[in-house]
Amino acid sequence: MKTQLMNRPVEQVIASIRALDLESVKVRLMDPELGKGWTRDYADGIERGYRNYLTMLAKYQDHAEDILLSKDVDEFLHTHILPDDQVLGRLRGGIPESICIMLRTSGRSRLRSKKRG
Amino acid sequence: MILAEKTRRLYQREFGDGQDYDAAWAGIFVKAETCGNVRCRYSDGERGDVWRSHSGDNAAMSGAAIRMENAAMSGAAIRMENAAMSGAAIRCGQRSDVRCSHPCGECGDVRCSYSDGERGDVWCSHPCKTTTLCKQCPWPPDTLSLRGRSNPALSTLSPERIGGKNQNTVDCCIMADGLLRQAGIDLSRNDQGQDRLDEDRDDIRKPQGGDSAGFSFRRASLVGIGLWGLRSRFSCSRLSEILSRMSLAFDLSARRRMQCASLRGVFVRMVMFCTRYGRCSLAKIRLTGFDFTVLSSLLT
Repeated sequence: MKTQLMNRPVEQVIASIRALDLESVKVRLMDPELGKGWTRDYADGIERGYRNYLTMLAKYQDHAEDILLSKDVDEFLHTHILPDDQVLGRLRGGIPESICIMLRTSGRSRLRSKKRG
Repeated sequence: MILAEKTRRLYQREFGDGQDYDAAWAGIFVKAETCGNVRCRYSDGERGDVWRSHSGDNAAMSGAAIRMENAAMSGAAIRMENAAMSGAAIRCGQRSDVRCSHPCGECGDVRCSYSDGERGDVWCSHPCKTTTLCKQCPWPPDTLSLRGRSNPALSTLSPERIGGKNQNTVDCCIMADGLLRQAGIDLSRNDQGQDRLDEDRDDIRKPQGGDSAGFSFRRASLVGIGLWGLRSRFSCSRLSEILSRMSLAFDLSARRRMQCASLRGVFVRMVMFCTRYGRCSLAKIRLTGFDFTVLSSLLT
């Protein structure tokens, strides 16, 4: 049975992804102590990679669990998901679609792994 | 189809040929000459998803961004059967005394014996098929849980790393453990009430000096084991309960700012562990009744 990953149209999800304000994430990652000390240009680049990754997840739901991401994009992702109150704040009213995709994808992967095991 | 190849094709489909999709994947443009004599391209089939080193004739997925040490796999992609782990996950650290040099059932010849010095403390780049336990190995709970995963003894929450940059984490482990015990949760036991810590093993693991900074290594071990257990043994409902009680405990101690900050770190790590390596996802936790507004307030 196919798992429904999103309850909104893909275009709408992608628009949400593009509208995400990731400035606070970048600022943190640019911090030499709290973050990774990235330069502004580099952080902007990784931000693009992150948005692309989320977009890919949204567009290719059937392959979502197989899409790899680079280390820095992964860093960006985790900086965004957990400590960012901006994201977590929205959990009250519903998990943001971009995060929701990843979460559900992750859950589906677990189930598959379990079946294989 | 190997994951890297699949990823490449999907990105190519979306972003076109040339370097466009490479940049789209890594977030940065990678000039062809930057890969030069270093790793390029993507994985081979035999080693799962381990990035190989060769000079690439295809600019796809090339450059520094996708080398083994830089290729962080998605949470979903980190699986036992695919255990090409992220750089952070396969590093053994500086502990040369933690060794378990069993030959890997799969590769036999290389890289299974971690901390051999020659391999730069890379533990194992693919699933360790250890079937027998090493007497020197302080952590042989069961081979299944070790396959393709980083050794729990080497996790960031382990006392093995005491004094390192994760000192604060270990500190807050102790605090978290105390709070959990206060809440009636004993992480040293699994769902079946079985003791997860063998006293002898703990003695082996106990560094010289025993206690430091007001906490015991044993206690830190318990929390480490508990967290390890969380991601592999405990059910979602159990996890939800633990997280909820930790939330309450956190709230009660809010006036102790520094400790709260540390506990927050544990909290985040617990969630990360459970979602990334365990059987639980945040969505599942939510379904079991965990109130994310609490989590939200904790992390703001």
